[in-house]
Amino acid sequence: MVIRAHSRTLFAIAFAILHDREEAEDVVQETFVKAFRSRWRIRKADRLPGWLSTVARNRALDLLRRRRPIACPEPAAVDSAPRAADAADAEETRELLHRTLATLPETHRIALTLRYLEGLDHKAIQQAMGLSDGALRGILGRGLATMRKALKPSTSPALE
Amino acid sequence: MNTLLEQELGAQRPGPELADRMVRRVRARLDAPANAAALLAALRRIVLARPMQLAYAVLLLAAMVKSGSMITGERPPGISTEMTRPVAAIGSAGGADTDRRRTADDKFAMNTELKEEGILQPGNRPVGAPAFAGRTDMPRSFAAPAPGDAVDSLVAAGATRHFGWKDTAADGSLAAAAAPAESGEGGAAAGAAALALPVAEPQPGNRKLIRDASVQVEVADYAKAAASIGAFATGEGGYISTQSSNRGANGKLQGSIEIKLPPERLDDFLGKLRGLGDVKSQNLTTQDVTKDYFDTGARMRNAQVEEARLIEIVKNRTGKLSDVLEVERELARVRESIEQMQGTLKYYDAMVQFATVTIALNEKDLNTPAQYLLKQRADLSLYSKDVDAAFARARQIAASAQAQVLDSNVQRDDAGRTTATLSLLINPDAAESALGQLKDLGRIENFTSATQRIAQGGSDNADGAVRTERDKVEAHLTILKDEENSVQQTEIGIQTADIEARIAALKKNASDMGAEVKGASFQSDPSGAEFGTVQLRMPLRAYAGVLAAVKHLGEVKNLSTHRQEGATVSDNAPAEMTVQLFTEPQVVTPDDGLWATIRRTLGEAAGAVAWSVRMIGVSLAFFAPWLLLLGVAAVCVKLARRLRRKS
Repeated sequence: MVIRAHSRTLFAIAFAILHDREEAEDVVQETFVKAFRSRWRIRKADRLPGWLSTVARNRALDLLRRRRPIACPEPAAVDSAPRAADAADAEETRELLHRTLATLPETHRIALTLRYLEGLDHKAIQQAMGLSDGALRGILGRGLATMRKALKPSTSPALE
Repeated sequence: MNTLLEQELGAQRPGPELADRMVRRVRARLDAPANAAALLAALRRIVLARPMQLAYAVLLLAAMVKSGSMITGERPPGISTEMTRPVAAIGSAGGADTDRRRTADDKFAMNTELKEEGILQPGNRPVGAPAFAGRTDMPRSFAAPAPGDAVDSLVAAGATRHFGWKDTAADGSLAAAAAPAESGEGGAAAGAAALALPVAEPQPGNRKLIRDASVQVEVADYAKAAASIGAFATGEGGYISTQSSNRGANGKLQGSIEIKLPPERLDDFLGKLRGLGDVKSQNLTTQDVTKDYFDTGARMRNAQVEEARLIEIVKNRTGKLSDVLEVERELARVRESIEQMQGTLKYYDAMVQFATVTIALNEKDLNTPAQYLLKQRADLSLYSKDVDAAFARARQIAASAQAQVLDSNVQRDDAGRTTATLSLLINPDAAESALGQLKDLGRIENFTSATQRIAQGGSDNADGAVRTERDKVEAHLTILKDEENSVQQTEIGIQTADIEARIAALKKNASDMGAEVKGASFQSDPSGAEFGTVQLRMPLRAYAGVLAAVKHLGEVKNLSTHRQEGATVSDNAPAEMTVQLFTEPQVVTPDDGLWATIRRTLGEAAGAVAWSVRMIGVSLAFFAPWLLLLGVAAVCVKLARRLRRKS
């Protein structure tokens, strides 16, 4: 029950930090294993989601620190054939979005990921991250503002 | 923006199979066999658990207290591992405890004595704690004088009467005789030897005899005689102590010279004096102070041990100031007592080392031929094992010498000791022989011979021969019960409980094994400490059995044995044993009521806590510089790493 109830939330948190599905799933697995082995430390059931989120976040950060720098792929050869302007713009926008997302502070990134990847409501995100309503709103607002600012020139009217 | 984020991030959304996949993976992981990493993780959890952290804190504090104790050398209060004096200790080493203060008057309350015989004289009574533990000087073993020593015969001219003490030579037979006495103990003997303190070297002729003589001599030339006396003294290894002279109304010189010389040369010196002139009178005395000397020595050693313990109490004081002051007062008293006894011993040593001869010289007044009556008095004290038999024999000697019996008396006291006295007037011709026979009746304790020449007119310098008439010799004989000196003295200290019962058991066991109980005493003080002494006398053949029985009374704390050397020792030779019994010191003394006990215990607990905190402080102060040094080193290493990373 605990795994089914919280696995997606923890996946979103880990993915927000690692941007890698496989590693995110490993983090979720380790989190639940640790939760099982340390279950005697959790005395109140309502503290479990927050505790799981903290463990997942710490493990993801550990993994991120230990991760070796990934070599940047070679830029693709310029296709001389004319591409569709819209597709190129969209691709560029997606890349810019991911880069901007990666530069956001960790809490902003996690909050946005929980909001848009999992589609959690504010209350669920507050519980997962241990934030108050006002704090969460501020974090989401600032995160979105940063994203808009970074993506404004490249946002095409079709994608709004 | 929202739509874009939803599109991009939504594409990364995992499918519904994520939960199932996580369940399978977690189950597989949990079911996997434990590996080293898991075990280490489990161990780490145990080590870091909260109860373990509390235990670490307690261990750390205990380690700091212990290190503080080792640094300062102090022991926790209220705990003592050495023998605590059960009676004379004033105050205690730990904890403030007003209920344990004792005034000087009630310090030795409940003092019960069980005196069997008059062995425990007031001067010898143990006042306070055991008299050993840590003593380094032992009473000297002394040679028992062989009965019937050879003595010189009476000189008919009546100039001198002397006798000599002969020291029996060591022939090694003592060691052979003593070995069987210990062999029966086996392991007990080995244990006793391990506990025995080193025995002092024996001194030859350990009897302490003070010899004095006074002589009155009439000489023709005072100055010449005085010079001769000085030369005689020097020749015999002595010296002139004092000298004085004056001229009388008749113009003749007279004076007094005091000579100090080795006692063994006294007889020769007196013989030389006879050649100077006419010996008008002579008095020779020998005083045996052996018992007093060794008794004083033993009491002094007891007092020195007591002094050492009091000093230790003052040094380790943690009690109230009033208790400390009381201890210091007692210490001053004990020190004064020690100094007095040291002075007494020194006086005895000085008097024994040199015999004193007081010579009264006067020049002769030569007119008419002198006439003198020579009166002699002899006082003889003897020790005899059988007083009645010796007295009967003395009567026979007197009868055979046709002596006139002036007084004859035999007394027996309550303890069964017999003393006989006999006063005789002996014809001068038979006096020498009779006195010689009387001396053979036992061991001479004292012999004094005084010769007085009473002038009955005339002058030595006048023409005509000097006439000397000898009067009857007045002889006074005293025969005392002889108790042979023991050849081995043992002192043993036993820590046990129920002292009175132990004393009773010891007396019974000792009597059953052929030992004689010479005396016993028992003391207890308000703190509940008990102390008892039993003195035993037994033949050497019973010594091993008695010692084994004594050791079974409790835990042996001290054992010392002094053995006489230089004499033939048989299995029947007497051995003496002093057994001192004492109880274990009590941390909490029994006193009135439950609350007094609780109060005292809380006080001692508070003292112990304060002491522990102090030790923690000492430990912190001791290790703080090291910790500071390590901290500075760690910071420097961290800074160096950070600089290296930046570069």
